[in-house]
Amino acid sequence: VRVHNTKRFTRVVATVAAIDKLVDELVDKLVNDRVGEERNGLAYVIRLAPDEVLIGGDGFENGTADVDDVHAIVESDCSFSSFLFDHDEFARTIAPCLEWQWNPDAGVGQGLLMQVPIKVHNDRQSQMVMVLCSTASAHELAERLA
Amino acid sequence: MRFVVEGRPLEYVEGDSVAVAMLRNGEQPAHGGTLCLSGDCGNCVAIIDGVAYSRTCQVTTRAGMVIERHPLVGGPSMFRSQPTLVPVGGSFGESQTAADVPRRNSEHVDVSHEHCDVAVIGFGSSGQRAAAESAAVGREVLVLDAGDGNEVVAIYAGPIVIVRSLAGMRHIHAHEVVIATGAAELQPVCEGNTLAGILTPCAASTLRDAGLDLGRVVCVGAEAGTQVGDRAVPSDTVLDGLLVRFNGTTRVESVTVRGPDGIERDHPCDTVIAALGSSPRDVLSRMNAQDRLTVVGSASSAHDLPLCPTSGVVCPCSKTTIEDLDGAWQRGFNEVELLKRATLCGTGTCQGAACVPHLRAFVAQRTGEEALPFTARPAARQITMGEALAGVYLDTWRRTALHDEHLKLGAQMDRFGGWWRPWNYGNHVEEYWAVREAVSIGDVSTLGKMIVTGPDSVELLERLYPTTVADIKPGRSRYVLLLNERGHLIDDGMIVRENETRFVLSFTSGGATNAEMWIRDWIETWNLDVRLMDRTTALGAINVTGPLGGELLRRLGVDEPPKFLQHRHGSVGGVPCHIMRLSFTGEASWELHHPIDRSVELWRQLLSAGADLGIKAHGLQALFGLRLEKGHVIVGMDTELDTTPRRIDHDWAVKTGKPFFLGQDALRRTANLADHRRLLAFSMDGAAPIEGCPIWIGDQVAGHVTTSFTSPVLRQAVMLGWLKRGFIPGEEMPKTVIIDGRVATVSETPFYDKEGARARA
Repeated sequence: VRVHNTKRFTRVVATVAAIDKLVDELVDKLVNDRVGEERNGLAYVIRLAPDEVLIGGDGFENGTADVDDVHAIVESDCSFSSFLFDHDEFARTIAPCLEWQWNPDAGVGQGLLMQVPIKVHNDRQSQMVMVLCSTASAHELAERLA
Repeated sequence: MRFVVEGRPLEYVEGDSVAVAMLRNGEQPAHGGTLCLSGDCGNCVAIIDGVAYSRTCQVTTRAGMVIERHPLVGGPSMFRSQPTLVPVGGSFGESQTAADVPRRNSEHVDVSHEHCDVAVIGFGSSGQRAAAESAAVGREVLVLDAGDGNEVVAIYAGPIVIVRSLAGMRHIHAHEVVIATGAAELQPVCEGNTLAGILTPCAASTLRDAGLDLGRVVCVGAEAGTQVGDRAVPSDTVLDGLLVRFNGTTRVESVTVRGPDGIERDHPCDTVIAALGSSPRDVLSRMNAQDRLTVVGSASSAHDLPLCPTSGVVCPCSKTTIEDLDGAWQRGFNEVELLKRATLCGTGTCQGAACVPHLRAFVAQRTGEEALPFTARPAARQITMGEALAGVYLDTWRRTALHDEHLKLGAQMDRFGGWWRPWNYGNHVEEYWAVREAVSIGDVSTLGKMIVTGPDSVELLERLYPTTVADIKPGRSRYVLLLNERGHLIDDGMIVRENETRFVLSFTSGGATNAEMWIRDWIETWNLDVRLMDRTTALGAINVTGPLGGELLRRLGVDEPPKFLQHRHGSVGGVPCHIMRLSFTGEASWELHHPIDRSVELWRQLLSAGADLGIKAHGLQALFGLRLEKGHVIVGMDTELDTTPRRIDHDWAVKTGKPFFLGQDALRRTANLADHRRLLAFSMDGAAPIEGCPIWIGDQVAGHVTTSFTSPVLRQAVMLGWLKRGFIPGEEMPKTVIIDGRVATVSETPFYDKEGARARA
């Protein structure tokens, strides 16, 4: 287990159109930032559902987001813990334990890992794979991974 | 190179299976019976390195392997024996060590999940053809062959193919499964068929290929050269006629055959090759009748049933004889399935591979019809508990952010509603009095929490809940029941209104997940414009309760703590909180909902600031007692699956005059019907009886206690319990009942502070 810590995200629930727009804007911004080398740490835009997204990383975890939906729910959220793996290590050691077929080309996957619900975020640029699970279950997943 | 059989070191040849290595040394792997050496029967099973029921013909001998036979009578021990790995008189061999012992013998067995388009089981000619055809159309094919160390032991719905390999267990998730397992050789069933020295043609070929001398060999059942299974009958002395019996004491010494002239003759021999034909190797295909499973080749071919046996052991695994089958038949067990259940025939090591053809022949002779074989159950062969449990994990029990704080305070932790929670901190009565007389804090982070917003949020909640929602003012909250369409209680909690369209809902710890799915389903069904976010694991919650609770909050910067059923956002000791004034304990209480990464900080500040107020943390044991004194029901503990509001005296929480709510129709339909169960309160002198204790009226059990508590403040036992008779409308309630041999009085709730003054103080 490489890293295990609680992640702080901004969590947004809004209309599908508003989430689409927000994600497009954020991805553009992240790509531009990276090109301009303005960001040292990782940043994440993890689409959990058509109407829900997690935004994490430096400057994105403070519970604010510019969402085009007056009824959007925008909250700071630290309910997830993360485990970081490099891509090859994940493919070799963790992917065979997943109970669904992990697609290395997909950005996000969700399902059970050793009976613990997780989300897998595959960052192709950094070649890192982040496994997210509920902080309440993180100790259990850590023990099972170990 | 040597291995150990029953404590004696023996030589083997590299590549020998354990069965061949034993036979090479004149040792029978088991205690007799026909050997197939193809993994089909259970006649060669033994204990290998402590693992019982291992098929010795399927395991390659390794230096230092320790073999023990199963006991002649009864089965091997349920517990793994410790093999002796130290050889007598030196090392095991050149290069192998005890570390080469197969992985399956270790305590931990790895499991891997693999995915493919087509899994082909068996790589004979049919399997090769199926694999090639699938690959030719671009499908990803995975071939699983026992000869390559991949034993398929089960196929489950999915389909998921479970494979035992030396590297561990493989769980193959396939879109389609092709079974190409071929045919198995029939075993002879006649008198003397448990003697040693009887071989199938395949076994005879295997032993000859290994260089073993079989002595005087005769062959019964087929002419030389006849194809049986994958092998041709060897050109030994072929006996023309019908097999009658094998003769001998422990080994076969002669075989009796009835010739074409009808005369029985004995033929002296050391080995008999029984070439009696074959039957589909169908254990796996009998396991799962799914449309994504195809059987090809000999495994799917029609095979004639053998002649019905008249004597001998039919099922070598369960030792079922023809006499056993006859006895069961005469008692009315007249189907294959019933015979299996009555005699255990087909339930043993080989899962019917050896006996099912004969069992079917037995039934066919008596009914005139060919009965289908019974369904095979995983696993197709014995696997260790480690292999069976590989990849199986228990449900996850979640921890709150305060878990370690509870442990530091000496909490006895227990599991409730999917969470680890403190049961007490050593003395629940002291915790109780802290709540009643001073101030206490409890970790209620496990409560379900959900934000609902959107133009239709009020409409959604009006439909979901039986109470009125539109009249809840922003800044206020209300207790609510959650009912299903039948009017049965599925959860309860609070509605907290923040503004015109934004609400916070709370649920029980155990009911939160189901409640979220329930609400999402109805949002979809009703096509409402609503946003919903589950905050259960994002927010911690600490309950500050007791007459000095307000003072504690003021010390941490809350100048005017919210009044009863009011709430507001604010800072408590610098921690941002949503402060909600509720009461589950019956005392003035505030729930502080906050980000879970601030839980420890807030918890410690509360304990520190309240030290001179006599603050203590309380666990569930005290909490359950406190709420019971108030008569508060816990959904799931005091309620049953068909509990209606009326049955728990919660009609006050239902506004039947609303235009609509889930369960309304059912409640209206049943409003005037007789009811025959009711949750009542009881009290009696002395200590509380155990929960679940029966409630007696006269000499009849009339119900049971759901929760009980020895009340420190009332100095008596208080209880809730179900009475399941005597509630015809107009019929008088019983005044007393008998619980735990004592007279208990039917009581009104709350037991304590009936006016609710303390909660509102």
